[in-house]
Amino acid sequence: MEPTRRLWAVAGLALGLAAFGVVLARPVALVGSVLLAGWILSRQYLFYRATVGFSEELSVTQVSEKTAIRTDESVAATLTATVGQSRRIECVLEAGLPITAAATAPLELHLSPEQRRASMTTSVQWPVAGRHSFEQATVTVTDGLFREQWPAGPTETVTVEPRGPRNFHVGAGGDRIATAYGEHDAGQLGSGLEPAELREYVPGDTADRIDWKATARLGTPYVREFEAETDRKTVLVVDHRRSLDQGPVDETKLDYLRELSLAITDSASQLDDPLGLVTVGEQGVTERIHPAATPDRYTTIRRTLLDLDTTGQSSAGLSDSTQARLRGRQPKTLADVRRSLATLEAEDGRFADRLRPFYAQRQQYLERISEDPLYGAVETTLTREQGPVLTVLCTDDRAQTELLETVKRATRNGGTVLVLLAPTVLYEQGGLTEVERAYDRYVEFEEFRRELSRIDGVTALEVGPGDRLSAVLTAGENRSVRAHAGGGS
Amino acid sequence: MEQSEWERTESSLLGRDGVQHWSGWLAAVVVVGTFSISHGLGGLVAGLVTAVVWAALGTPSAIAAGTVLLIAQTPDGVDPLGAAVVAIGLFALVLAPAVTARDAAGYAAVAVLTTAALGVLAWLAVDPLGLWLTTVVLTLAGLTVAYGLHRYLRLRLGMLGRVEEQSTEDTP
Repeated sequence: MEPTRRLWAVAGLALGLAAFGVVLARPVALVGSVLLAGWILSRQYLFYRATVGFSEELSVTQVSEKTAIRTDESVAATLTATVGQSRRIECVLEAGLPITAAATAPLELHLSPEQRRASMTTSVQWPVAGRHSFEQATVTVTDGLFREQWPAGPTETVTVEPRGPRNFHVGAGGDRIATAYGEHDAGQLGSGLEPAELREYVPGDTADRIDWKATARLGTPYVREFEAETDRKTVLVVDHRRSLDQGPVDETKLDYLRELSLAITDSASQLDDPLGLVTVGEQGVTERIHPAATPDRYTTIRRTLLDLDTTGQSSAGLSDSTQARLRGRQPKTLADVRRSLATLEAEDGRFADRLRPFYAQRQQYLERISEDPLYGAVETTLTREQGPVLTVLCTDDRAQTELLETVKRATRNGGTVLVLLAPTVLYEQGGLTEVERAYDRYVEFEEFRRELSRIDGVTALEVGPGDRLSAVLTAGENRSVRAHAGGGS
Repeated sequence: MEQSEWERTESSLLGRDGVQHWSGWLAAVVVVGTFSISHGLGGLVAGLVTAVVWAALGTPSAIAAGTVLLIAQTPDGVDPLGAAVVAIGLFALVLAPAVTARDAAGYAAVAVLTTAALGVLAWLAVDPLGLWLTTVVLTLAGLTVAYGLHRYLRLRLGMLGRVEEQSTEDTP
């Protein structure tokens, strides 16, 4: 209970009268001081009664429109106050918004003595991720002489999640896999630390390779073989063309693939695998980082991935030399096809007439593929690298034919390929009816993914939001159940 | 949250009617009457001036004005009976809003008890302690009662328990 200026004025008057009496030596002045003190205390009692009664009648609610939101999202917050019966006390209510919330207007209510209910709604932005609790609303009442403040009403908790991919799903056919990239078998024996097997000594083995303990135990010379220590050269090929921009804000195909690429970069860094990066825009390669196993290289790749955005005008991101290389690049087989076609065109006869359309079609097809930026990027990258390379292709399922050819190209020369596919169907926004239709499209995608996985040395995985995938699969299951029930009856 | 439309020094809990109500005017008449009875014609003028101040500025100013006028009326010293009569008149101004107060009996009881208690305290203290020490004693007594009521209000609002809980939580 704080005194207002008016009350201080009355208290000052009482003390002034007493001082006046002291100065004039007139005790009768104390009569005024005593009366004023009685006046103040009786008013204080009135305020006490009114405040206690008011607090018992007051009902305060503060509600956020949504309690689970993403960072920088704006939601409506409403403060409501209700009192039972009319009273003569002024009241101001202030919502207990967390300090991390930014309201467009102060969430305050002024409840005049005649009002029984008041409500206010304002838009609140939440820029900081985390769990934020509203403080209780602050009630301030005054009668002009005294003022009191106290917290009232329930609190509300808002959970703010950071933007970006969530409920991450990496798997095949709707099943999640534990790891897509990590430790790997070398596939050969040699010098190393991990014991692989014991075998009998054969002439030609050096004496230092004999395992003397095993020899003593088994009575004949034995040699211990070890797993060869190898590094797996990995090239991340990340597609950031326009189609990768599909999806909600900060949850696009590219965002999911970026997260996965960053995880692969971290894994490669832990395993000391040489890692390179090729990013592909609309017209070709926009960034090329050659494989290396140095900390600087991992950092550069990480930064490049974080800066990556979808591009519509990729020539801006291309170096002159890269563009020149892309223009001049021709698949080795294309020349052969053209030569064969020229030969056929020069020849006459039924056999040539029969073959000519097939070669013409093949030529057209190969030209189309060669124009595909992803194919071109893989072609130029793998031509430069020597030895087996693990190519990690991060893209979507828009251009399936081109992707198939690209994967086939990457598996040449003993290369292995990990295809991380963002199924378009999982990034589309839609209601329940669209979800049922989406199931059919997911089945089509799954067929394509399996087709890729059937290629030797290729692992194709889907990458996307798990909740959306679950919804699509559930819709498909429900439809099957309905169809089954309909057929049964 | 000051009430600008409320120029007089009064609690809004009494409403505008608290001043303009007949009980207020009746108290003003009592003031004029008690001044007149105790101090004759001069007292009548002092009473009228006090009533005008009450109507214009409110009860505290009227009490202060009435006290000053009482001292002015008796330059050679006031007799206790005359002072008591005027004090009763001025106390009527303090008591008048009880008619419009929601808890009339409680308000009147507090007004009577606190005024009487402080008055008796002043009466008892002024001779042995002297005037200025009596002023100090009265101030301390008033502050003690006011602070006690303040703490009790916070207790009723549940704020004292809250503070104790917080301090317990803060203790390692």
